[in-house]
Amino acid sequence: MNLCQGRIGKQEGASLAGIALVSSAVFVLDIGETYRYGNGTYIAFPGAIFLAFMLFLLLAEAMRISGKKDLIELVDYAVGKFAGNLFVAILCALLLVNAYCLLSRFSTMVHALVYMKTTPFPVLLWIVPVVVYIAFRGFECVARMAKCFGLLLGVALLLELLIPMRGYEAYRLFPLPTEHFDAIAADAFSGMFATGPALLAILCMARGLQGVRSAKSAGTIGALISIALVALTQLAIGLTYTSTELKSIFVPLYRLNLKLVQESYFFRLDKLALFAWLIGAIIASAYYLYGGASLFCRRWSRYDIRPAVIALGVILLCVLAAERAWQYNMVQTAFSFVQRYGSWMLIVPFSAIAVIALIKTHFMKRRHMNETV
Amino acid sequence: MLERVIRFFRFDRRNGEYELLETEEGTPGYLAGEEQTSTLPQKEDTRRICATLAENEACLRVAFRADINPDLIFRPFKLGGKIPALLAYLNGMANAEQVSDFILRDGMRPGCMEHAGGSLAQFAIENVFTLGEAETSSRWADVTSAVMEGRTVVFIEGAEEAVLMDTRGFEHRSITEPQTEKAVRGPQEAFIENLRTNITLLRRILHTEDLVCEMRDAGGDNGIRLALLYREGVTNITLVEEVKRRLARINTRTVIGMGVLEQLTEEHSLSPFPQVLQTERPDRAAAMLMQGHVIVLLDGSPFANVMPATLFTLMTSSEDVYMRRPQGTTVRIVRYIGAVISILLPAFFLALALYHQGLLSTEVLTTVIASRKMVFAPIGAEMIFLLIVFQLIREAGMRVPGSIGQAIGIIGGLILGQAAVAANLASSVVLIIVALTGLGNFCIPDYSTQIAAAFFRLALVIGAWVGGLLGMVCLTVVFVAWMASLKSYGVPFLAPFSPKARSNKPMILRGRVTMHQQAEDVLNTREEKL
Amino acid sequence: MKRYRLLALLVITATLLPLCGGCLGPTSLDEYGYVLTIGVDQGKQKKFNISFLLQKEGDSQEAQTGAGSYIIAAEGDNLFDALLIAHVGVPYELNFTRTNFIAFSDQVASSSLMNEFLSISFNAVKIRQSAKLVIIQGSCVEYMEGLASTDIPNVAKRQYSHFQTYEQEGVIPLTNFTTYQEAIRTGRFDIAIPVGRLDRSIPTEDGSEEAKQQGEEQQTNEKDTTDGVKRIGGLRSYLHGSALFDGDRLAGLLDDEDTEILLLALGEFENGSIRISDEEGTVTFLLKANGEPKVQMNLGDTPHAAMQLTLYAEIELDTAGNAEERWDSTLKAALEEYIENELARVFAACKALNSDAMRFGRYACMQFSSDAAWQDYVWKQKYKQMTAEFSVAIHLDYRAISAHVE
Repeated sequence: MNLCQGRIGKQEGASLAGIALVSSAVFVLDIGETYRYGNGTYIAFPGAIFLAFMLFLLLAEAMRISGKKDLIELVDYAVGKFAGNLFVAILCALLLVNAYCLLSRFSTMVHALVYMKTTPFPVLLWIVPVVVYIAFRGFECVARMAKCFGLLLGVALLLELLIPMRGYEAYRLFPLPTEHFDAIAADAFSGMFATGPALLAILCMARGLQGVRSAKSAGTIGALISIALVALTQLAIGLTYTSTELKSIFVPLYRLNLKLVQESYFFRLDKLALFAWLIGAIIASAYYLYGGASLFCRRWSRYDIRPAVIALGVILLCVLAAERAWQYNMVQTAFSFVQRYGSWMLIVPFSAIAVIALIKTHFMKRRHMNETV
Repeated sequence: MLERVIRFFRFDRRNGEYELLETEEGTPGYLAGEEQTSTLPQKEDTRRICATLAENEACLRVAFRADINPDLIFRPFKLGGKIPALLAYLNGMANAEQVSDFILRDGMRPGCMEHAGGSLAQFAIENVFTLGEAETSSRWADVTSAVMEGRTVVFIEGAEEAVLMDTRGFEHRSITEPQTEKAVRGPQEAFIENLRTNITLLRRILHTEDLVCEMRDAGGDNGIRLALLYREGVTNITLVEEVKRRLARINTRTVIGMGVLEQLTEEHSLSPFPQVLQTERPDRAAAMLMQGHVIVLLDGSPFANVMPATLFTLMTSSEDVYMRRPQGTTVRIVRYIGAVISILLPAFFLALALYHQGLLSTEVLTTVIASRKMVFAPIGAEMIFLLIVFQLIREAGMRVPGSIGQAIGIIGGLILGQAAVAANLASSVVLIIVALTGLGNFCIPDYSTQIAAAFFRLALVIGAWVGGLLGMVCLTVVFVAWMASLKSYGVPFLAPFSPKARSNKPMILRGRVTMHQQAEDVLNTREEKL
Repeated sequence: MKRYRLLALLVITATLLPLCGGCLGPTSLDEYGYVLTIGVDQGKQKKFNISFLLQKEGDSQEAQTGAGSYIIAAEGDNLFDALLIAHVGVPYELNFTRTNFIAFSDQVASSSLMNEFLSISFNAVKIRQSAKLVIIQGSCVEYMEGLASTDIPNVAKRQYSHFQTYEQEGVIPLTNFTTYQEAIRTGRFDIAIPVGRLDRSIPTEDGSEEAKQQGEEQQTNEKDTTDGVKRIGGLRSYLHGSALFDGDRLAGLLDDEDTEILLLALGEFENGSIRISDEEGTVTFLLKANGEPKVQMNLGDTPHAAMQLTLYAEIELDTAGNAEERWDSTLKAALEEYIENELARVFAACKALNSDAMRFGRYACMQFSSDAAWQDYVWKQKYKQMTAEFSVAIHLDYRAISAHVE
C-alpha cells in the first residue's frame, strides 16, 4: 500500500499542527453564536485547543506505554479490529468535516470580501483543486508546505494584530463574562470538534514523524504555539469590537484595522492578510483531506492513497457545491449536528481507548512479571 | 537537561535521526503503477583479434568503411626490422608527431625485438614503444573504441593481441573565462569540451587522494564517454550508487551535451526546476566535490553536472564564498529579493490592477490610468506581450555574437521600450514592471532556474489575470507544493530548510567560511558520521 | 505511456476546473472612476442629493497636466439609487475602495436620515468602513469644491493633510464609520464628528464673478469668514470644531477651543496651546497629554465620575528673571483650575445636549459582570442625571534660555 507518507521532522509536524489548529479555531469556531453571553472567546477557543491537547497527551502516553506505533494500532490493540472500524470511521469523518468547514468558510469569505461580482462556486473551483493536489502529493509535501509557510503565516498574523494596536480599547472587553464560566467551558468543549482532529491526525501519522516521541513533541509545540496565537487573536478582536458588535460581524479578524482613523502604509494590507490566511486554510484542509484518506486507505483499502484523495476531494467539492447551490439547509443541519455532538464523538471513544489500552498494558505487564517470577 | 530544553525549542534533531538520502527506485508510479521501460536490444561485440595482419586490416577497414572513409590511416611497418606490423589511427584524433616519434621510430629500430618471447604485444610495450599509456587487448570492441577515441592501434603478425597506445592529440579550445558564471574575485577559468582537460582542472584544485574518477560509457549509441567523480569514503555511497544506477539505465541513440544527460538521468522530467546543477566553473565543481556531491563530466561538454541540487544550491553563486560574510550575505539577500520580484511582481501588479484596486494608492492609480489612456490592449494582454518581448530580446541577445547581442539588448531595452510607449502599444508603468522583472530574473545565478522562473512568472500572470490574488495565491501554493515534493537524487529539493539540517547550509544567509570545511549534512556524508 | 496519459488527464482536469468557473469578474483599473469623497445633502426630489468627488488623472503618461478632481452628483433615496442615476452620465464604473471620508450636511445629520443612509451595506460597494465622517455646515458639494486646488492636483494627498493638520492641532476629533456604528449599536457613548465649513471670502481658483462678489462682501457677512476672522489665501474649505451626537442625530456643535477640552477628556489630545490671563497679562501654554485620563465611576442611584487628568507643560524661562517662582505659586494652580472648570463646562454642555461625547459609558460598562445586566441598565437614561468632577495635575517642565544677548 502506498500511503505517500514519507518522513518528516518535528518542525514540519509542529507547523502542521499549529496551522491546522489556528485555522480551525480562528475561522471555524468564530461565529456570532459564540458571543451570545459576552466575549469569552479568548478563553474558550484556546480552551478548546487545550482540551484537545490533553486528549492528545493521554493518547500519546497510552501509545508510548503500550508500544504502539500509531493511533490506529492503539485502537486495534484496545478494542480490536472490528470495533476499531467505528472509531477510525469517526475520526475519518471528523477530519473530512473539518476540511469541509474550512473550505466552506473560506470560499464564503473570499467571495463576500473580495470577489463580490461572482458567486462562491468559482472561488471553490480555484481552492479545492489546490487542496486536492497538495494532499495528492502526500504527507511529506503537506508537512513541508506547512514548514515553508508556517513562520511566514505566524509573522503575518502577529503583524495583523500589531498594526491596529492603536485602536485597541480595554473597555470593549467589558462586561467580562464572569457569570458565564459554565458557558465558556461548554464552548471550549464543543470547540474540540474542530481542534481535536488536527492533533489526533498527528498521532495517526506518527510513523511519518519518526515515532510517537517525535509526534508527541511536534503536537505539543504546535498546540502550545496555537494556544498563544489563538488567545492573542481573540483578545485583539475583543479589544477592537464589543460583544454586541461581534454578534453581527462577519470575520472580525479581517476588520481589525477599521477602527483606526489615521491611515498608514500598512492600513490596507487586510486583503493580503486574507490571502495569507487562505494559504493556511489550504494547507490545513489538505492535511485533513490527506488524514481522512489515509485512515480510509489503511482500514478499508489496500491500494494507493491517491485515488482515495481524489475521490474524497471530489466528494468535498460536491458537498460544498450542494451547500452553495440547492441543499443549503440539509448541509447546514448536518454541520450543526457535528458541531454539537462532534466533541462527544471524539472525547468519549478516544479517552476510552486510551484508558483501555493503559489498563490492558498494565495487566499484560503484570501477567508477564508473574510468569517470569 | 538544559541542552535538551534548548534542543526542544531549536527543533534540533539528533545526529543521524533520519536518513535524507533515499533511493527513488521504489516510488510507485501514478495510479497505473510502474511502467516498464522498454530497452533496445544491445549487441555485444565478442569478436577476438586474429593472428594474421591481413585479416585484422580487413576487419578494421570494414568496420570504419575505409573504402570511402579516408580518416583512418593504416601504416604497415616492420617491427624491429623483421616482424610485420600494422599501425592504425584516426587522422586528426591522434597526435601524428607522437605516432612517428614514439611508435614508428622506436618500433622500426633494428634488433629491438630480438629477445622477444611469449606475448609479442606485451614485449613491445615493455621494450619497444616509449609512450606513457599503453595496453594490450584481444577484443575487437576495445580496438574500435580506442581508435575512435584517438588512440593508436598496432597489430603484430602472429600476435592475437593488439597494442593500444594513448596518442590522443586532437584540436580543442583552450581554457577561457567562464561565459555564464562570471566572478569578479574568483578564478577566471572554465571547463572546456575536452574531458581530460576538465578532469585535470579539477585535480589541480583537489589534491586529495580520495577523489575517484570513474570513466564510463555515457550509454548513447554514439559511444561518448563520461567521468564520474566523487570522494571515496566521504560521499554517501547510496548517492553514488543512485547516480550509477541512473547512468546505467541510459539507453538512447545519442548523448551529446550535459543537457541531454541531465534529462536522461533526472527522475522528474516534467519539472520546471532543474534537479542537477550545471556549472562551468572548476572551482565550484571542486567545492561541491569536497562537500560530498557527485560530479559528472561528459566528453565534448564544457559543463559539469553536480548532483544532487537543491533550491538553495541553485540560488548560490560561486563568488559568494569569495566575499566576506556580510558582503556575501547581502548579495544573496539581494538575489533572493530579485528572484521574488521576478516571479511575483508582474502577477501581483496585474491582480491589483484588475481586481483589488483599493490596495493601490490613489497616486499610483492615477499614474497608471494616465499611462494607459491610449493603450488599446487590455492590461493583461499588455503584460503578457511585454513579457514575451522581454524573452525575445533575451533570446535574440544570447544567440547572436557578443557585441551584436549587447546591441540588441540596448536596442530592445531602450529604443523598443520607448517606441512602444510612444506608439501606445504599452504603458510606461507596465514597461517599468517588466524591466524590473527582467533585472530580477538576471539575479538568479543558474540559467535553468531562470527559465523555470520565467515559466512560473507567465503562469502566475495568467492566474492573476483570470483569478486575481486568488489565482496567484493558488498557483503559488501549487508551485511550492511541487518544490516541497520534488527530490533531487533522494535529497528533498527544499533541504536544508525543509527538512531541517544541522548545518543549514547553503541557505539565504551565508555561513562562516570555517563551516565550509565541513561536508553538507543534507547529503548525509560518511565523513560526517565518523 | 499510460502513466503519462493519466497524469496529463489529472493536470488538465485540475487546470480546467478553475477556468470552468470563468474569470472572477476582472475590471481594469482604468475602467473605474475613483470616488474620494461622498457628500450627502438633503435632496429636493428624493431624500438625498449625493455627490461624489472623483480624482481626475493627467492628460497623458508623460505629463500630469489636467490632473485634478471633479464632482458628479445625483439625487436618490439611498446610495444605490443615486449611483444608478450617476452611472448614466459617466463612461465608467464608480469605485469606492479609495473613499476617504463621507460628508453629511448638518441638515441631514440633524434628522434620522444620516443613520438611514449609513445603514446600507457598505460592503456591497466596497466602501471601507474606516472612511471618516464629517458634518458640513452648509452644502457638501460646495465644501468639496472648496477642497480643489490646481496647484496640488492630488486630491487624496490634500484630503489627508487637511485632516492631519487639524487633528494634530487638536481642534477636531477624528471619527470614522466603524466608531459611529459602535456608538449606535452598543449605546456606550456618543460620537463627536469634525465640522467642515466654507470660507466664502476666499476667491475660487477659476476667479468666477460669484467668487469676486463674495470677496467684496466679506466685511459685511461674518458667517462667510473663517470663524468670523478674515483670512487671505488657502483653501476655501476648512475644519473647525466638532458636532456632538445624541445617538444617531446631531445634537449640537462645539467650537475648536471646546473641542480641545473634549479631546483632553477623551484622551485623544496629544499637544496644543491654551491661553490664560492673570494680572500680569495673557500667557499661552504649550500642553502635552500623556495617555488617557483616569476615571473612577460610581454608578449608585445616579452615576458619578471622578476624572483625573495629568498634563505636561513646557515653560521657557529667561535666566535673568525669577519667573519660576511665579509659575509655581500662581500660574500652575490657575492653569489647573482653568482646565478643571473648562472640563466641567464642556461636560455640562454635552450633558445639556444629552450627548455622552466624553464617553463615560465606557467606564460605566466596566462595572457590570454580564452583558445582559449592562443592556438592562440603559446608560443613556442614567447619563442625564450623571455628575462629574474633574481634577487636573500639570507638571511644569522648565527650560532655561541659555542664549544671553548683551
